[in-house]
Amino acid sequence: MGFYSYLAVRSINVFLVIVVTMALTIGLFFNAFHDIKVQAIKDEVRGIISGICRTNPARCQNQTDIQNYANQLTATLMHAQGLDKPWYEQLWPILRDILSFNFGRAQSLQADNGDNTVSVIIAERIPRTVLLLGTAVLLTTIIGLVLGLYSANKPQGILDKTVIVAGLTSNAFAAWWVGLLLQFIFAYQLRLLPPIGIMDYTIPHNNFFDVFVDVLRHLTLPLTSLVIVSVGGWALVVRNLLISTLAEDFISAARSKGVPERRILFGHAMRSAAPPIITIVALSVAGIFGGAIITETVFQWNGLGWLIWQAIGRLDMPVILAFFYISTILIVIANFIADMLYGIFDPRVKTG
Amino acid sequence: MSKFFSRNKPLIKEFFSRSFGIIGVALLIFYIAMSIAAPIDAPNVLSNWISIDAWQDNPRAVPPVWYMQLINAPYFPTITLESTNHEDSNLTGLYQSVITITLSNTYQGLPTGFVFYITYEYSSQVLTTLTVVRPDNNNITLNVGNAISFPVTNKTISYTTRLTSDTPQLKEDIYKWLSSHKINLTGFPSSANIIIGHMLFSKLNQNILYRENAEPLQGIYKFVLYAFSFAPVSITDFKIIIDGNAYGIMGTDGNKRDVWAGLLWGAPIALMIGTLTSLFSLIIGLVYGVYSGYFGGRLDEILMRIVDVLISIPVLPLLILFLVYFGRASSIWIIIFLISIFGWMGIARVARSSALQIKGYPFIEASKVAGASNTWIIFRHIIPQLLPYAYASLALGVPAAILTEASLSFLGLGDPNLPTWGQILNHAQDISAVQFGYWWLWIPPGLLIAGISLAFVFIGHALDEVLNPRIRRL
Repeated sequence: MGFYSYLAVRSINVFLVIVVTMALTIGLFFNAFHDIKVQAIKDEVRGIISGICRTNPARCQNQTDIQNYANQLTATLMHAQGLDKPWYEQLWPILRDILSFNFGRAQSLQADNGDNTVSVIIAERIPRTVLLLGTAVLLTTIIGLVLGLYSANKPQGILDKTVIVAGLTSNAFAAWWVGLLLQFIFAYQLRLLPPIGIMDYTIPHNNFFDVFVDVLRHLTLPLTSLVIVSVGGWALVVRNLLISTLAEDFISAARSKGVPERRILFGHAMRSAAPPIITIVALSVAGIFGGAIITETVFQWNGLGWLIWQAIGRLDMPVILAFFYISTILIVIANFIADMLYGIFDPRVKTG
Repeated sequence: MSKFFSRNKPLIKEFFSRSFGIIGVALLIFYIAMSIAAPIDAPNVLSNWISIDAWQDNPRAVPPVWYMQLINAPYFPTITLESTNHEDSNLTGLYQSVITITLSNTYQGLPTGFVFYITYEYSSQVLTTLTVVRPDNNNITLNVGNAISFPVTNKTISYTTRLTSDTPQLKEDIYKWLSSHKINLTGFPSSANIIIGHMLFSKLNQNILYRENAEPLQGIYKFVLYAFSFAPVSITDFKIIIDGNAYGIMGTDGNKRDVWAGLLWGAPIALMIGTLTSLFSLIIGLVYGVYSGYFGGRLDEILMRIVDVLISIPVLPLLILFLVYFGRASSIWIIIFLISIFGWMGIARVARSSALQIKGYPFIEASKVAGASNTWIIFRHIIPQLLPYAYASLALGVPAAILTEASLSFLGLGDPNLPTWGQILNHAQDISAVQFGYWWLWIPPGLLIAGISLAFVFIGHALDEVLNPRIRRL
C-alpha cells in the first residue's frame, strides 16, 4: 500500500469518527437540537406576525385570530422541516445540518458585526484560538524536544534531574491557575504586560507592525502559562524515548565513526525516535486545548474558550453544541496530521 | 494487613528508599490530616457553605491576620466578646438589668463594622440603652431600644435581637453624637450618608468621617447595656462581634465566608473525587480492555474501534456539554460519574495489549484444560497480573480527576453547595480577586490543588518504578 492509499484510509477514518461522534451526540442531546429548531421557527413566525401588524394594523385587531394564524403558521413550518416526525426520522436532517456547519442561530450571543448565526460567531473566533493554541503547541514541542534531547544525552546530569522534576511537577498545575499567577505578577503588580484582551483598541495602530507588537504583548502571558505547564512533561517524554535510542548500537557506531555530536543527536537519534514523538504531540494537542479553554477565559482572549464561557453563562445551547463539534474536528484533524507525519517518518505503518 | 506488609516488605522498603515516594506520602499525610481536621475545626461548614445567614457576621473580603502582621499594616482582627454576667436589681418596682463588656483596644487598625446580639428575658415593656464608654470620655449612647421591636407579651419570654453597624437607629445615634461634638457634617445631610463601622474606635476629630483617614483610639472601652422594665427583666446574654480588617487564618471571601474552613473541607472532597473517579475509570478500563484482548477476533475489533472514537472526543468540551444540558448546578456525584465515564479509554488500551500477551502464556492454557471458565481466568489470572500497572495508574488518575473537577468548577459547572477548591477559585474569579489583590482567595486553593496532584504523581511515579522494574533503566 502506497502513501496515498494510507492517506485515503486515514481520511475515511477521520470522517467516520466525526460522523459517529456527532450521531451519538445528537442521539443523546436530541431534545436540545429539536428545541433549537423549534425556537428558530417560533422566532421566524414572530417576525412575520409583527411584519403583518406593521403593514396592516387592521388584521391585528383580533388577538385570538392572529394567535390562531401564528399557531397555524408554526405548525406548517414545523411540518415543512419535518419537526413533527418521530425522533428517529429527524436524526439524519439534524446530522446533515451539523456536518455542513449549519448550527442555526445563537440565543443571545453575537458576532462582532452583530450577526447571531452560530457558524459566523464560531468562524470569527477560530483564528484567535488557533493563534494561541498553535503557538503554544509549536513552542512546547520545540522547547521540549531540545530539553529532552540534551537531558537524554547526559543522564543524571543537572539538566536531566531538572527535567525529571519539572516533568513530574508541571502536570500538577492547571494552566489557568498559572495564568492567574502570571497575570497577577506581570500585569497587575509589575504592570509590564496587558492583563486581558487580544488588542488594545484605545491606542492607534498605524501599520501592521503596530498590530503585531500589540497582539504579541497580549499573547505573551496566556502563551507562557500554557507552555510552562506542558513543556516539562513533554521534555520528560522525549527524554525517555531518546534515552533508549541513544543506547543503541547504531549511535555507538556513528560516534566511533566520528560523526559530530550535534548531528548524532538531531540527525540519528531524533530521526529514529520521531514517530512516537509525533503521536504524543498530537495527543498533547487535546490536553493543551483543554487548558486553553479556561486560560482564554482568564485572559479574556476572545477565542473559542472565552466564547464557551460566555455561552455557559447564558445557557446558549446552539453555541455550546457547535463548540463541541468544532473542538472535536480540531482534535481529530490534529490526530490526522500526526498520522500523516507518522507515515512519512516511519514507512512501516503504511500497510495499516 | 500485617501479612500484606510482611510479604511485600522488600517492595515497601524500596518504595520508601525513593525520595519521590517519601515526598508523595508526606504530602498525602498532610491532606489526610486536613481531611480529619475539617469536621473538627469547622463542623457546620459543609451544610452552611452557600447559606448567606451563616456567614453574615463576618467582614467581607478581608485578608488573614498573620498577613497584616507580616506586612506590618495597621490591623484590627475580627473578635467576639460575650458576657452572660448580668446584674439584676429592683428599685421599688422598677426592675433593672445591666451587662458590661470591657475591651482593651491595643490595635493600630480600625474595624469595619460591628454586630450586637442581645437576649432579653422580659414580660412587660422594656426600655434599653447601650452606653459605649470610650477612653477619651466622649461616651456614646445608643438607643438600642428604639431599634428593637420587642414582641408584646404578658408572660415571661426570651427574645434575641441582632443589631449591626448598618442599623438605621444606631447610625442616627452616632450622627447625633458627631454633631453634638462639633464635627462638621457638611456633605452628610442625614445619618443614612455616614458609615459608622469604624467610628466607635476612632479618635473624635474631623478625620473620623472616612475610615481611610480616621485615627484609631487605643485604650479601655466599656460597653454598658441597660434594660429597665416595670416587670422582672434581665439581659441573659450580650455578644459583640467586631468585624476587623483581618480575619482568622485565611481571611474571608466576597460572601463573607471563612476561606480557611472552605480550604479545609476542600481536602476530603478532593480526595473523594480523585480516588472514586480514578477507581471507577480503572475498573471500567481494566475489565473492558481485558475482555477485548482475551476474546479477540471480531469482538476485539469492534470494542477497540469504539475506544478509537471515544478517545478522539475532547473530554472537557464533552463534559461542558453534558453539564450544561443536565443543569448547571450538578451534584458532585454526577460530576464524578461523568469524569469516570470519559476517562477509561487509555487504561483499556494498555489492559488489552497486556491481556493479549498474557493469554498466550502456558498457565492460561493449563487452567483452561483444568476446566476454568473465561470469567474465572479473566478475574483470577489476567487481572491480578495487571495489578502493578493498575496501582500506578490509580495514583496517576487522581490528579487528572481533581484538575478536571477544578476546571469545571472554575467554569461555573461544579457543585455550588460544596466548598471545593475549584469553587473557591470560581468565586475568586467572579469578584476579580486577582485584579483587586485578594490573593488569599486564589493562591491557597491553587497551591492545594497542585500539592494534592503532586502527592499522587510522586506516589504513582515511585510505585511505577518499584513495581515495573523494566522502566527503571530508562
